Amino acid sequence: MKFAYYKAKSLPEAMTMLEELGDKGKIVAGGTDLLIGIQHGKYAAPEALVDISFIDDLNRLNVQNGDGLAIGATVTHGAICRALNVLEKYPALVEASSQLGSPQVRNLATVGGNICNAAPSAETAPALVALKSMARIVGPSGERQIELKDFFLGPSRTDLKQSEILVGLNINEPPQGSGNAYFRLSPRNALDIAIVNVAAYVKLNKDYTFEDVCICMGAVAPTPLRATSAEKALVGETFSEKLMREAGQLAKTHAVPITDVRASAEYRREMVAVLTEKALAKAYERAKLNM
Amino acid sequence: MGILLDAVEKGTLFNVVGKRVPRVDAAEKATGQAVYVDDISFPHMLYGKVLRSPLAHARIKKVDVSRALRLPGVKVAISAQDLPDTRHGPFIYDTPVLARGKVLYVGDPVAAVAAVDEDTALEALALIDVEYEELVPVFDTDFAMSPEAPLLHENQEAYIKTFKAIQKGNICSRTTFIEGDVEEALKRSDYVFEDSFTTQMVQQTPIETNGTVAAYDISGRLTLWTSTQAPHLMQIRISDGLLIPINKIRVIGLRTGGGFGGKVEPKTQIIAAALAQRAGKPVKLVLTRKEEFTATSPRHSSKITVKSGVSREGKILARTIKAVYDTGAYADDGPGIAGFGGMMSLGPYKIPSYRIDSYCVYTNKMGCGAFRGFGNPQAAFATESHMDMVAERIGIDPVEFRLKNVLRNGDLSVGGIPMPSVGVKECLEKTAKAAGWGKSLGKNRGMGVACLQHISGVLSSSAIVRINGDGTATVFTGAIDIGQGSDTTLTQIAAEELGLPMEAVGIVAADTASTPYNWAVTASRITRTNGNAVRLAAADAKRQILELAARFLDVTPEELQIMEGQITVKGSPERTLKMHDIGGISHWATRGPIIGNASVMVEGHKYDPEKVKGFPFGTMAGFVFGSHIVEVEVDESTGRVQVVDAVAAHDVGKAVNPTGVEGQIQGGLVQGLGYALFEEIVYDEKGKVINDTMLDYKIPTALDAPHITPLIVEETDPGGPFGAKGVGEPTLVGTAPAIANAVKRATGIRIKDLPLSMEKLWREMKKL
Ligand SMILES: Cc1cc2nc3c(=O)[nH]c(=O)nc-3n(C[C@H](O)[C@H](O)[C@H](O)COP(=O)(O)OP(=O)(O)OC[C@H]3O[C@@H](n4cnc5c(N)ncnc54)[C@H](O)[C@@H]3O)c2cc1C
Repeated sequence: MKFAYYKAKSLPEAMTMLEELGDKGKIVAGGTDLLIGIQHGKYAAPEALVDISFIDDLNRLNVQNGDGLAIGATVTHGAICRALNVLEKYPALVEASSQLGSPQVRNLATVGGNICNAAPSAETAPALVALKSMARIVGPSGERQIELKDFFLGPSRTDLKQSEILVGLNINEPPQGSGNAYFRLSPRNALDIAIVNVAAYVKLNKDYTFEDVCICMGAVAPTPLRATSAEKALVGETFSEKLMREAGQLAKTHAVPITDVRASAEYRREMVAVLTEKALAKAYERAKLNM
Repeated sequence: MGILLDAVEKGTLFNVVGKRVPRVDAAEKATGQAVYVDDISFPHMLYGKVLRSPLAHARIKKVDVSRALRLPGVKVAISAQDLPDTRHGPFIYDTPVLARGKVLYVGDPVAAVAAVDEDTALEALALIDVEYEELVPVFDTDFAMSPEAPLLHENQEAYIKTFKAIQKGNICSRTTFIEGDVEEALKRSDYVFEDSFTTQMVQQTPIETNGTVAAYDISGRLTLWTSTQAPHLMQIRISDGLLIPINKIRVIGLRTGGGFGGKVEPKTQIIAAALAQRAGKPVKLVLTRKEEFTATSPRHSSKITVKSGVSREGKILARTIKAVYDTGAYADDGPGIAGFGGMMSLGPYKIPSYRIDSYCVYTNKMGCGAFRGFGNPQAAFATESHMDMVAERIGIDPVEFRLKNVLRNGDLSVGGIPMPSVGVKECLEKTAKAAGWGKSLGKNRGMGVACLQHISGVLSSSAIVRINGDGTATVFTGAIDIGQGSDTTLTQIAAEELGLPMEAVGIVAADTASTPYNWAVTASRITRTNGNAVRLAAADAKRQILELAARFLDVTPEELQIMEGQITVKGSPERTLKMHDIGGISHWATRGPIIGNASVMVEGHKYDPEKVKGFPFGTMAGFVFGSHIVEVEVDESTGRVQVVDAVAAHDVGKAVNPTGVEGQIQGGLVQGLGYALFEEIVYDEKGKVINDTMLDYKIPTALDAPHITPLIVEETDPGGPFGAKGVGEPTLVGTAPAIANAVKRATGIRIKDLPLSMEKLWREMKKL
């Protein structure tokens, strides 16, 4: 197979290339999904690839105290892992990035690629949704922002229109009294795809009751999925193991998993409950330390 | 000094053997200089691709390659019609080069093409017209063995067999071992327990897939550069498959990126040769990972029922085994595997009466073959799980129960072969001590044990040792180093025997044009069986060296010794000759160059035909033993098992390179962990493999490997070189049952069906 390869040095240059190429062009970042997909015939080989991974502006990870986090789309999972010390308020994201693939894959694979590839099991999606990320998108008609939870439309399908680039993700700084965590289940300890993954964000009131809760589950629906009924059930309540179990059971009711060679739908559904419980308990523990 | 020399003579102290030497192939592999088949390229080389059956069981009505041939860039397109009407195989000649008359599994090779590049070759495959008439597929051994099942090999009586095969319907081979009056012994037993187990199909998953470059020259000589465990065996299969005499076939074994049994029988070689023969240009045929997972020779799945009669004191008095090994479409090594698995299924225990009945059965899946353990992983999973179940029922600690029954030096193996060196007791005691057997463990943790036996001496081999003009030596062996380290150990053995330092010995491994015959790198047999050939060839060279030196030193050869490259008169160290001088003299002055050679065959014991029936092997030797203890932690909410610690002891006779032995123990243990926990080839209801990628066929990663303590036990084998036996396969065998036993002790749940997947365990835990 043959295709042209263009290396964009700036965002405007990338935009021009993409607009010229129209539906013949395809964005590539780390290439760890795209190139393998092309090789295995999952996607038709495009006529041209536009590599955005050399654009400095997209490569930045900005953490501003008080201002939150701005993740450039081509920041790699490896970079996220190495920024552990500046990301102490975003452990769910680090937990997600650090479990993706292997060191070699993490050093190539980008956060933007993980999101735009839109696999139901995408590692960082639940964490970024639970942290209420905003997706920043630049396209022929300028820049727009949407909530990440609305970005996913189905497996490999997103809200991106032709020639649009996801330039980054913004997260407001998690407030005092909040905590977040990410859990995934897979048979292997590395180089594995999540059978189920769950991220939880909780914000506690002064009296330790839940003020705000966000739970996002992966691999149990065509897109990352919020467990809204579980979130609602927790607000105003105080932590107990029983309550966490109930939240897990509620989360389960949202899941519409499939049966495949990796796991049965039944197991996935039950594991959503288990992982939700674990993620909530961990997020709560972190929130308490952050009061 | 006198005592030391004495020790050297007696073989209790060595200069090279037993030392932790760096591997002779380390530098080239670490730097990427090592040459593998995909590195081989020639001008005008063509690329081969294979058209495979989309159906599990069908009659081929028509194959037409003419449209493919018309595609520009396509040079050769062939089907069975273009090839001699042959079948080949190790025990039963049932495998055609390309499907003939019928296809027997999804993936069965039907046609092949050679084209100027891979894309063109792939395009050409789509242009081959094949008409099939679908037949009822047979996916399960129970159905296969029933009278209603259609026959896969309708003509099996006519196939050539290398042994007296007991066959019936789809049963391609049945092996039985009988000793004593089992029924009577069971009646006499205080307890009788019966348990049934199943194991899954697993693939070797070598990091390098199978591949070959073949070239055919104007004089009718065929040359192959190939990834193989057995260059000489490959010559035979190509000769049988294409009717070319062996002297016209040269097989060059390259560096091989792992084999584990999957590169013994041909995968690409005969097809590549057939294409090259017609192309008149070299042809490269390398399998994709998907082809590896769908059309090679994985480990047999099995169903095994074990029954034991036990006395109140915990002595096993009798055992019966019924084992069914699913060999898939072609017998491949199946008859040997089912037979050997049966032979191993008493475990390393003295059981006075037994009846073992092991079946090898055809089904419409890919043909199964050798994979590290050769039937023993299945047998050991069943019987060592059963050992723990019995121990628990009669209220004896599993280690103690095993110790009450272990084999001792001089006991007989199944089939009656005497075993002079049996280190199982020491292995078990050492592992129990190192693991802290019996200590209290944390919540959801458990420790499990399994013991095992295996062999390391079988069939024939030969070696040549040449003394060069400068007094260095070169070993020529047909045993290929597939990563297990045989180039290093065979060099050590030759150096030790010759009295040369390691650096003074070179090795040439595995080119049929220059190295002498070796059956195959299988059966954990290279250190012992090939090692014997190399040692004897070195001894033969040494005898000639000493005879020549004796003429110049005016003594008899018996008065001489070689140490560190110096030939000295015993007792008068000032009277010396250098090996360098011997090299020079023999090449330039008198006698002629020195060549030592040796041929060996493991033989002697004859099986009693009343007691052993349908066993496709002759005698075996070099019995090895081991014990594995693992500690697991189970997540009770998910069923996920993490192996946190492992201790494994193996009786290797003499560890020629202890670092190499430890590497085998670590590698085999981890490969066994994959077998225990996640690996499984999964078929859909149409006979198609549904997890044909490295993502969905899960082998363990470095992060899944537990901390491993390898322990070496040296129960010297009088029949092995410097007392050495083997270690390759047994290191895998003990892991799965040890893990299943540990999970039982951690959770109370006994899993009798591999793999012990997290979902399976979770389902069982939910029932509690
Ligand atoms: C061995 C291996 C293991 C893996 N393990 C995991 C794992 O454990 N968990 C997991 O979630 N994933 C895993 N992956 C998948 C993959 O690595 C991740 O999804 C990765 O984050 C993709 O990023 P990338 O930069 O390589 O994307 P690419 O392959 O470059 O792109 C992926 C898709 O997104 C589009 N795209 C990329 N960037 C943008 C952008 N900024 N704007 C618009 N479109 C864009 C591309 O056009 C393409 O369609 C694994 C992959 C491999 C090869």
